[in-house]
Amino acid sequence: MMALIITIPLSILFAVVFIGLFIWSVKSGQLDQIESQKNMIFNRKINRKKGTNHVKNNK
Amino acid sequence: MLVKNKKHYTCKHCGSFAGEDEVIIENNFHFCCHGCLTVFNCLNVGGLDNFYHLMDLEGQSPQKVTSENKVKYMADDQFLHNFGQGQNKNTFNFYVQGITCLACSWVFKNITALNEKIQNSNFQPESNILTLTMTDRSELVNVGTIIYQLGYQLVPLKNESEAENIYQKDKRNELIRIGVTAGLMMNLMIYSVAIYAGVDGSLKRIFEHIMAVMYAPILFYSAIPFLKNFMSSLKSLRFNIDLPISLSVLFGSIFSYYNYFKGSDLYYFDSIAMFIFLILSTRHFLSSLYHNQIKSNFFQNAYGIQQILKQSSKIFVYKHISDIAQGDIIKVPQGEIIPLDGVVLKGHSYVNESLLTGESTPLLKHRDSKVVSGSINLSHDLELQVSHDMNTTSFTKYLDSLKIDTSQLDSYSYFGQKYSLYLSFIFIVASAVLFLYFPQEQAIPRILSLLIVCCPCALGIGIPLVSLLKTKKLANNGILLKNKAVYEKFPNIETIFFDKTGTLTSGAFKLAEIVGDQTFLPHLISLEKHSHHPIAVFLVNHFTSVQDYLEVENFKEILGEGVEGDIQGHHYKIHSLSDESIVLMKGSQQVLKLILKEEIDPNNIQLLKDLSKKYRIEIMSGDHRQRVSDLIDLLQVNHPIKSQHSLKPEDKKNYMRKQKNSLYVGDGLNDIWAMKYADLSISLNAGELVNDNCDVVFLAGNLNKLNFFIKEIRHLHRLIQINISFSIFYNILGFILSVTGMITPLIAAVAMPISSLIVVSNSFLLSRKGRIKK
Repeated sequence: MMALIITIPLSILFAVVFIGLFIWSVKSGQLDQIESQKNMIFNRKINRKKGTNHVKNNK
Repeated sequence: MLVKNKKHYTCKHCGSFAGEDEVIIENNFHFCCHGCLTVFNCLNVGGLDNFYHLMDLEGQSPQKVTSENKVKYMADDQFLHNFGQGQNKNTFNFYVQGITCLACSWVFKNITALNEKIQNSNFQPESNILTLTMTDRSELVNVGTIIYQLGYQLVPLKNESEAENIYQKDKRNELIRIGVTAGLMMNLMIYSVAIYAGVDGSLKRIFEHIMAVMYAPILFYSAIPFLKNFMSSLKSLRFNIDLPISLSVLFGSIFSYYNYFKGSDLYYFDSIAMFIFLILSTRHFLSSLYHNQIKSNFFQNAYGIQQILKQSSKIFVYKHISDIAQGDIIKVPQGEIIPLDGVVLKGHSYVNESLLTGESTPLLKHRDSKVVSGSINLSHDLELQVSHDMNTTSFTKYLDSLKIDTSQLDSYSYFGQKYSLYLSFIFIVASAVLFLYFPQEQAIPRILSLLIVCCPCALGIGIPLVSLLKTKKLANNGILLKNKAVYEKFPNIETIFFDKTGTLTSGAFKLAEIVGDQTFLPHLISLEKHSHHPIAVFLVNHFTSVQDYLEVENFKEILGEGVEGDIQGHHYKIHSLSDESIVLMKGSQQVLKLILKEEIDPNNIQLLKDLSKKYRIEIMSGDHRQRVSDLIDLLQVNHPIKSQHSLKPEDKKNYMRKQKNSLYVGDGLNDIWAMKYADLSISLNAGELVNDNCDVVFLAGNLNKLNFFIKEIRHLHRLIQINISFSIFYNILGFILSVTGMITPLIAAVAMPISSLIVVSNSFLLSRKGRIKK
């Protein structure tokens, strides 16, 4: 029984965190265009700076 | 207290009286103190000066929001002027919110029946854009009111790109709803399973409290779209597919909370949560699928053009097609399709423009030549300066002329809509009977199962989906269905009528026989070399062995008759006879005769042989008798082929009017009338006007895909029948099991979306199975 006092609030917390993260990811547009991600390479310009790849969006 | 005979002013801000000696005047307004003046300035600078206008409307309450008020802006002249398009500013584009099911588009198909002032309407289900052309703009507000009452909301658009943003916003909201429901549903299930497993006492009650709290956001947030639609349709007494869903959610929720507060076990939080989650996710999946399938740019789809070599700082780099603008310099390697209209800057090459112009002979393009998108660069690399970007290029315009009216409703889809409506009605009546007949603890689970299981989504989804998949498959094979009812009419086709020239024959010639003295061949070729007539060009190309051309003097080409000239002091004349043979005359004496025949593709011969086993074949030609009978001889099929010759377009029209169950295949303007009177018609990509008047367009301009088309169309018809049968079977089975209490609401909640998914998977699998071997 004592375990339930911890696990129930924990499961509710997990649910709230999951929902919160999901809402954040949707609102920030991460799930907008899943299909077209493969074409993004054509819209990007790669600038090589001191050995690091700096990806800059064209638009 | 006011002093008599002293002038007083009313403060602009607070309305207090101020005496002549204490008033502050600014901008012709009077203020009682500097405080009021400061507040006035703050409001003015912040653009909030409407406050003073509202002060004059003291006691006025906000107008009640009715459906008329929601769309009242549509009556405003400013709106009509700003958003109206076309010459008369009477065409309006709207993004339609509330499209929850593929079947919703049928509402907009019939929208013209709702108001006689709608001149024309078009609904694009892939983008949810409704275009209305009104004969009377002032009636727009009434149309908007009706649509609002039906449960949909209209967002006016100035351009189509706005629609994509609204669509993305709608999709995000849908996803959030699904996520919230999924998270809460999974937690609900944990407690629900514990209760099913036998947890008892105070712990059980705690679990019930948690479940009741967790279910609330599902009901008041996730289920809101169904409930809103339900309320709107209830107000207007126009029922939609959300009726049974909303009823089951409302009915189940009210009874669950009622029993929870009463302390009874009869609650269905878990079942309804799962039901809502599955409905939301199935709808989201299907609408995304539908959107992606149609929305995917046909231009890219047809040719797979995504990347283009664009000149950037003297080198060519790959860019996405949408990044290419007018004036950019691009490179088209040999063998590739020219992606955009342009002018050749560097290089020369032969280009095949047959797709757009029908001209199959490759044309030489060199510096400053214009090239059009959709043509094939055959021989060498070309550098072009782009004259039109992706949205305005010839090929895009050409595709617009082939646009399919996706809002058309065939009789099967119509049946699906009617069936859904009657089914919902029957199940609601049955629920009422169950409620009256059984005690509450037996009636509620049965009613809930019945309402859940009766949702006619499988049928609503099944028909449009297979139709869409097949349409796309045919489009990828260069066949455009302009009329969605093709698959429905095709099984009745008994006779196929073919136009001859250009359809069965290519219009090209072959030399059948040479009669006379062949030593005159150089004379004939030397004369023909000066002519541009197709037969002359053919003969010069055919007799390449004749290299020693003779000198021709006094050459003359008489249009419609032939050519003549003097060779080595003798007068020669070439003219054609009615049977398409040509003769060479030396003076008045015939010295040589060449008999020409029209060429027919061997594939077409085989095709006609195959088709003649299943259909009656008739050939209708404007050509003279000899050519038509030559063709019939060439076909040598066992079954008799009826043919007619020397037909004018009017003759073809009059003949086709009398035919029943007919399919007409043609390629020219002279076929338009015949196409119109045939039950079905196929155009071999014969230009915008012919394509507009037919049911199917074969983009390749030949008959190679006719067998494939017939096979796919028959297969589509069969698939739709399978989906209808499955849905009816599922509903009857669900009805029996629910009424007899053999399934619980939880099982019904799982079974309902599964039936939709079975229809979807079945459609995908069977659509793939129908693919022909290459």
